[in-house]
Parts: sequence; structure tokens; C-alpha cells
Amino acid sequence: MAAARPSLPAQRSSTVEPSHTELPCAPLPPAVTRPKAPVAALVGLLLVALLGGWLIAAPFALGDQVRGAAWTAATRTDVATGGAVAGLAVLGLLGYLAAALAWLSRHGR
Amino acid sequence: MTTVQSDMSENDTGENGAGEGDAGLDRESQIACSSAACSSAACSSTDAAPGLGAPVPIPVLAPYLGLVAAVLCAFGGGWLLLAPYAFDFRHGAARVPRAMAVDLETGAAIVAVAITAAALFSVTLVRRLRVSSTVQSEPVAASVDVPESAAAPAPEQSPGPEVPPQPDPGAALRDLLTPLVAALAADLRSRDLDGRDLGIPGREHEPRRQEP
Repeated sequence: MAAARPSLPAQRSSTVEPSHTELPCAPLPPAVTRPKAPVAALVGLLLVALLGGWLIAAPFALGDQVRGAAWTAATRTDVATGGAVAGLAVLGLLGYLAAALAWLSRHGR
Repeated sequence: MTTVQSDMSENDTGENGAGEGDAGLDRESQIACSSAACSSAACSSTDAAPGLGAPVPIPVLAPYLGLVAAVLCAFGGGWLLLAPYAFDFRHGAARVPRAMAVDLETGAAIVAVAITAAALFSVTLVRRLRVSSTVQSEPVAASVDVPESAAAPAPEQSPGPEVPPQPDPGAALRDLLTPLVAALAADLRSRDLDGRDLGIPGREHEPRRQEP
């Protein structure tokens, strides 16, 4: 004895789904004004990196450090400080570049 | 329509909560708006959920990193100025040795260039922070509810870049209430005159009944 199955309503909801053309459009995002890069500051940081490199090479280039001899205090100071300064400047430049590229990849067009 | 708006508001809430993760949503909305479906009348800024066109944050991390690096480099240059005296490169010599001169000159150059770079980075950072604070304060001012009576004269004003002078609220209230008070006074005066014409003492202020 198969009972009559209740018929399903033709439409489950009284609300009509909007068509594609009726969907509201989101407003355009505001125009992204790419800020100016501090070129002079970046050039200054590059100069500092070059000065650090010069500081590393100076004892050997000027002949103050004899090849093969033990390093003097001046050589150790120059190489250590020059390496630190050059490394910091290069890290700053790379950090700036990475942050700028990350912002551009996220918000730039 | 209700379903669509609730979905958009959820996206908006998630976007604000995520902070900077709105690039994909903006691109999708831009692509959707540039399609042919945008020619319909439903495409208006009032129908869309607020916040989808949120301002793009100004990049402040990059100049901050540059500022930190420049300041640290300046400290390194300062150390170079002090190191020849700290380690006694001179060893009692009459003339200044070349290594000491190189350290002093290079240290001075590093300090000068690093301080200049730090100043330029700080100027850039301050400008960007001012711009970002201005951009953040604009939506707050725009989200304040304005009553319809106050917002009605807005389209009549010329859309110039200059801000129109705000009217005095006391004068506007006075202009609104003056004819009302005058009408009330005239009504009371006419009622007094009607009571005297009828000759009823003590009933000058009662309203007259209309005859059928």
C-alpha cells in the first residue's frame, strides 16, 4: 500500500533570487596613490654601505696591514666596524625593498 | 536581495577584522564592476555595503626599516670616531697614523651620510603617517548620521572644493520659530476679540463652537 507522497512545493521560498544583472555592484576602491620613494635617503643608505665596504678594504688597500702577518687592532676594528655598517645598510635597503614590494603586490595595480 | 546584502556585510566585517587582507576582495569587486552587468540600474554606491571601498593603507613599514638602519649605521660611524682613541692607535707617535686618519675620516663621513638619510627617512615616515591618519579620520566623519532635514539642502549647494560656510543654528531656529510664535499670538488675539464681541465675561479664551 503505497501512500500518496506529499507533493513538494514548487518553490521553497517566496523570495526570488536576483538575476546576475540585478546584483548590486560594489563601489570601486579608491584610486591607490603610490607614495613617492625617498630616493635621496635610499642613495644615502647605499653610500653608507659603500663606505662600510671601503672600511673593510682600507687596511689592505693602503698597506697598513702586512699580508700574512697578524691583524693589528686597527685592522680588526676597521674590518669589524666596516662589516657591521655595510651589513646594516644592505639590510636596510633589502628591508625597504621587501616592504615596498609586499605593499605593491598587495595593493598596487 | 537580502541574502546578497548580508553576504556583503559579512565580507566587510571580515575585511576590517583582517586588517590588510582586502586586496583580493577589492580586485574581485573591481572586476565585477567592470563587467557588462554593471550597466544595470542596480549599480549604485548606495546599494553596496559600506567599507568595500576602504582606503588602502599607506606603507609605513619601508621607511621605518630604512630609518632604523640609518640610525644604527650612524652609531657605527660614531664608534669609528671613538675607536682610535679607545684602542690608542697612535701609541705615542708624534704624527697621526694613517689608519687613525682613515678611521676618523670614514667615521665622520658615515655619521654625516647616515644622519642625513635618517632625517630623510623620518620626514617620509611622518608625511605618510599624517596621510594615513587623515585617511582614517575621513570615514569616521562620513559615517555620522545626518538627519534628512539637514541633508536635504546639500544637493542645492554648488559642488566646489571649498567648504560652504555653516549656517548659525541659533539663527535658523529663530527663523523657524518666529512665524510660529507670530501665528500663535495672532490666534490668541483673535480669540480675545471674539470673546469680547459675544459679551461673555470670563469666556474670552474658550474656543468658539462651530454652528452646524
